[in-house]
Amino acid sequence: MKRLVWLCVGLLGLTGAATPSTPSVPKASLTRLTSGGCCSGTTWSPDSRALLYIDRPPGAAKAAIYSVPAAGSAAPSVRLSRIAFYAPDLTYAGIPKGNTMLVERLSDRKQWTLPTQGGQLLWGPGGQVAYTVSAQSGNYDRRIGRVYTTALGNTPRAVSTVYGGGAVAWLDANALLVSGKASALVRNRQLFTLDTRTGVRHVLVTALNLRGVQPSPDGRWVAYAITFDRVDRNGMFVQPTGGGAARKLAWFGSYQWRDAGHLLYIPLTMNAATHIVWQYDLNSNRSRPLLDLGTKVQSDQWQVSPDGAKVAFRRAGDSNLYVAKLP
Amino acid sequence: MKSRPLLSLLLLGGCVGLAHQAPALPDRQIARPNRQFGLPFAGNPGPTTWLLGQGYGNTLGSYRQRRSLYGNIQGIHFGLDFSAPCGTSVRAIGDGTVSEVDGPHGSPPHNLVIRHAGGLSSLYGHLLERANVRVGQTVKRGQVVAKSGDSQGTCVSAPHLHLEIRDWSHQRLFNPLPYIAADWDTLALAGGFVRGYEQDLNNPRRWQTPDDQPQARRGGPLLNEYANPWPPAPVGAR
Repeated sequence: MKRLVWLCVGLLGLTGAATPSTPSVPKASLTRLTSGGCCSGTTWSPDSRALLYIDRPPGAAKAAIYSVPAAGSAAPSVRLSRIAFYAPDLTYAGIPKGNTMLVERLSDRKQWTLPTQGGQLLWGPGGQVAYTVSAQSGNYDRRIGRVYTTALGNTPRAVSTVYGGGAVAWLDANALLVSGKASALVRNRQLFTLDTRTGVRHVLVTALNLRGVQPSPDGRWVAYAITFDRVDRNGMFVQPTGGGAARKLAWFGSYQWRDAGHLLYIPLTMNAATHIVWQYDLNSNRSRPLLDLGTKVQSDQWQVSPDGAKVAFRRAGDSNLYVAKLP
Repeated sequence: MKSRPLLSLLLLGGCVGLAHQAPALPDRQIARPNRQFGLPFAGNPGPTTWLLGQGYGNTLGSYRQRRSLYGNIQGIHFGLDFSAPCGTSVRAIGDGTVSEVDGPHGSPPHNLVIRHAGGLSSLYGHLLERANVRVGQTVKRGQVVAKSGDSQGTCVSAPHLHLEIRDWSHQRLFNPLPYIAADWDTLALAGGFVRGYEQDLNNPRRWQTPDDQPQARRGGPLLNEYANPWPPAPVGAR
């Protein structure tokens, strides 16, 4: 669950609100990993030692998934010749085939076919997957979405129906995080946990717009943003997934979990000279500036390494990939 | 002198009518992008005010609708979307003259076109109600000219403003980013309701950044009908 998962209409939330003025912040020492402006859709390797991205450098015969060491110690090279939706731990690949998804276990090349109809796979513990089959036409937030789960090799099972949404992430082996409307014509959408064995739902929050829903790596908390609802309801929140009140945060920005207890975020502070990474501590409920990137991130493309020690980002201006160590 | 406004209106209307049939303006008549315009909303972005939504160009969302919603403009998202609650005041991005109110340019339920210097027009789409300005009226940059609405007509589903920069003939559409003075890198942190750009695996670096997006022409061939697209569009998307 370390990797980010997005609502189908999802986004990282952001705003101009409430990050305090910035005291002296350590300046990042950047390592440039690429040249030539490659690297959209970058992800970290599971061991936090390399970055992976789709590319076809000049002279290459075809596109592939390239890898470049985070230490900057070597040039990019082909890591995976087949382009597919890979599980974050690189144990499975999802290959779209028409209205199905061919899932292959990379260790033995065993394959399964799932009738996803274009739905993205959410890789769960123990060889489980979830996906949402959504209508492709009609009002965006009234389109029916049916959530399916399966352990590979079994028949997929419909576990939930929502409108204008779908499954967001696995919280553990038996629980999914789902967002959507309970019926097509209601105003608000819900964010709820779903026990995939019993079908029991626990609604965490109901709001007009829920954005950037991201469970913590241990699945015990979820971060989300509410936008364009009542003024007093809008903002950035964290909430325990097992029950408990939401905590409204004093900042709004692009955010990612560093570990189970810390969120990293870049505030939406307009016209600042550089982007600064802040850290919010779940235990102390406090934020502090962590690292001044000394430049700006392009298109919100920044990724925290799975071990929480580094941040990679695509730099505005040259569109190349850079890495910095986090304090 | 009383007849002058009416005459201006008639002349402008005639020009607009001709412009719909007119050939695209050549490059020499189009002002170069120089951050000469402003944002269509006042104040800071945020969860209560407004956020950047979908970017211009070869977006994932436009690819999925390249033959339908965006088929007439070469399959790309030919404007910028700004998410905002219905009724948010929309401001003219530059000095100009109102050339059309609810003209034949889509972006329902209501739209507005302002003609600027340098061969450029701005279009404001999915407005909540008919804009309270008249054709021929002069407007100044930052002046409130309309209220934002919702492309789905509900003020709940997808409330946003669709903003385009076109040539006067309405045949050419331009990436607004280099024309509008704004901190786009920071605005993009808010993400969008359609994230990222479609890739052509035969040329995966092309059109992958906000600054590197193609111009579009009305009625031209699809720019993103890729033989080897990534990600593939969901079944049923066209």
